[in-house]
Amino acid sequence: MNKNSSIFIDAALAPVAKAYDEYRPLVNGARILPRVPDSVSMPVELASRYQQTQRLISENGLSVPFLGYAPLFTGTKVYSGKDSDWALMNLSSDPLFRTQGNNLYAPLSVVNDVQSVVKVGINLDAIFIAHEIPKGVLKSGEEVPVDLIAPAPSMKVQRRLSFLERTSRAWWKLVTGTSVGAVAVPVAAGAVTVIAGTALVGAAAASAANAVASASAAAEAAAERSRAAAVHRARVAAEAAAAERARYYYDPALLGVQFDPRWLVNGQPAGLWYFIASWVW
Amino acid sequence: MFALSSKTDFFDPSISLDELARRMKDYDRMPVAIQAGLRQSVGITLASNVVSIPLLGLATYSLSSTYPVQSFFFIFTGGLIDSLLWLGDAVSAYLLALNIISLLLVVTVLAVSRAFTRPVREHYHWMAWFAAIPTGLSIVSTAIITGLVILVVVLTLIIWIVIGTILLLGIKEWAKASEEASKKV
Repeated sequence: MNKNSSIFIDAALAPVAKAYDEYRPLVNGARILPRVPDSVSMPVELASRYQQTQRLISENGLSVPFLGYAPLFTGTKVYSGKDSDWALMNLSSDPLFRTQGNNLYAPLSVVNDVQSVVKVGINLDAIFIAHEIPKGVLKSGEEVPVDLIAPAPSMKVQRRLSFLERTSRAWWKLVTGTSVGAVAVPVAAGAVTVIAGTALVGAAAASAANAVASASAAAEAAAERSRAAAVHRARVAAEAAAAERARYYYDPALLGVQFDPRWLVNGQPAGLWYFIASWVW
Repeated sequence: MFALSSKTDFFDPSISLDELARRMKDYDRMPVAIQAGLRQSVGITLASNVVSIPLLGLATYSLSSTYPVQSFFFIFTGGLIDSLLWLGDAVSAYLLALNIISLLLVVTVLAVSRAFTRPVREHYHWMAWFAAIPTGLSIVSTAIITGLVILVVVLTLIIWIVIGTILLLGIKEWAKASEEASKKV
């Protein structure tokens, strides 16, 4: 590192404390600042970007707190939190981001917040995402399973999808009932006509039909009971799954980094970390 | 793939805040896996379309040659059966169109969701739901027309049974009268 092109920035990085307090649960859990070196110097360009970013944040009253500096890394790092763990990774490595066609879905207010930050001219070189995960399920370096972090759809979307599923089942039930009825009634009428041709065969057929009808009614009743039990089991399983999901909060947080590849701290590339946003699913 | 920042030595590819702002989408529009009920509906719709489209295609071109019915069996109900066949002939083209629309919708849903292996945007769920309507209508229409044809056949059968019974009774009476006449002689 060229010391002539660097400035001393201990003082600049000191205000971390305030943001650190505000986001203590996340920052503690994720240990974004595991250590603070005695003195740090960084390239002038980066220091100047930092100052400009701070100026834009305060001028526009943005809530993008500066967290401090920390080493940069690739892959996934899992940090232990109080009630849950945190999996921190570059957004481009986020399995959820990848499975959603390299898009990040967030509440509209968060989307608007991020866009307003960009509009004022702030840019961050890399984005990291911290996913809250249940305690002890992952170790650092392991890829986060998508199912673990995938959020459920919003309540209103869930209501609409549930309506679609319900009405779809009802529709097919109606179609089946009507179609079977439309064909079965004339067929039955035909059968009755043929049966009525001879009294003997008619009587035998009638008693057979009675037997078949009662057997069919019994089978239908048993099938109905079985269907009701299956529906009940499915509902219980869905409620259990919902409760299981609700027990954990897979609430992500977005962090942004400004860095310069020439800036090394203890031989490791480091960056200036900002807290961009977090939200609750 | 991404708009790379100029400083990507450690994060290749890295996404800048600028790029993130472009790639952020409203949570309400997040893709969701198609639910079991809709998957089943798409399956039924597809199977039904695969079966009915060739049959309706055939019906559209061949039903017109089946009426007016010349069969002696339908001598009393020829008008009814002709009307039903005409109705079937007239609606088969519409039913075929409905089934083709439905097939296009389900194929789109299947393609986008990669046979239900990928979550899809909400409008594809609506598309899967809607696809069942034309197919269902088509199934019901076909069943009703088929049922009516069967009903006319049954009605014809009843007419013939009644005629046959009357004829037999007539023959019986005639035989009885002949027997009595021959006894007198």
